[in-house]
Amino acid sequence: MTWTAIILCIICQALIVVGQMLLKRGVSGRQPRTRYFCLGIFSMAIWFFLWLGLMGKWDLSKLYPFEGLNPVLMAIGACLLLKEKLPASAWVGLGLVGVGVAIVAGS
Amino acid sequence: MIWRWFCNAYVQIAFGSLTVTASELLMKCGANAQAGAIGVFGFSAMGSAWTWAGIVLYCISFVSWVSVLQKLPLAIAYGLINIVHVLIPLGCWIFLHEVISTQRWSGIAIVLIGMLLIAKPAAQVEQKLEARL
Repeated sequence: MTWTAIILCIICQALIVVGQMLLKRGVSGRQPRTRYFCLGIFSMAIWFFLWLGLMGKWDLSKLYPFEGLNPVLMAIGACLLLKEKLPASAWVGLGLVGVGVAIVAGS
Repeated sequence: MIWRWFCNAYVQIAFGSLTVTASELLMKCGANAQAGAIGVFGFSAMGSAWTWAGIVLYCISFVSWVSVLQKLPLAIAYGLINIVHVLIPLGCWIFLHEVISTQRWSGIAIVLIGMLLIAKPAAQVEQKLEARL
């Protein structure tokens, strides 16, 4: 895979993390919010077209493991935005996901 | 009676992971059906019925996932839904005839182990991030 493709895959995952959170917030919870729902749809739409573009060029079995970066991105987001501390086991898990994705990308 | 069984959270997880798998495979078919060279965005795949079938299934799987989240603790749901990381490569291999090397299978296995380790803390982090929205 080219570096551009790898970076696009990571952007895809960031969009899906944000999009799914906004959508969930928009449809569930105590007070559903239309604004969150619309922003979620917008984010998912960009993800979708990017994902289709990537799928036109690479195997799905190669692209899908990048979904594993989902919790990695959330953890980074939580560390930056909420100053969260993660348990050591989580860092081991995050590291494994990273290594696994790199192996798949190089396969 | 059947409906109540279907609404069971674990049945919903199974249903959700199967619909996600099917939707990704269908979208891949749609993406493959794109005519000629495409840029970064796969707009031309929208001309394929496969893509639309994939979108419908994706929406169904999302509804199913939201219903799971209302019933099961997120950490458990997160751990269980990881089955898609097995189902999707299997689907690629069986239905799309993708050649998956030992190296790729090993990478997939390592991602899966990592995902299982992180399921619980990821769930906590997601709930806190969502609460902040």
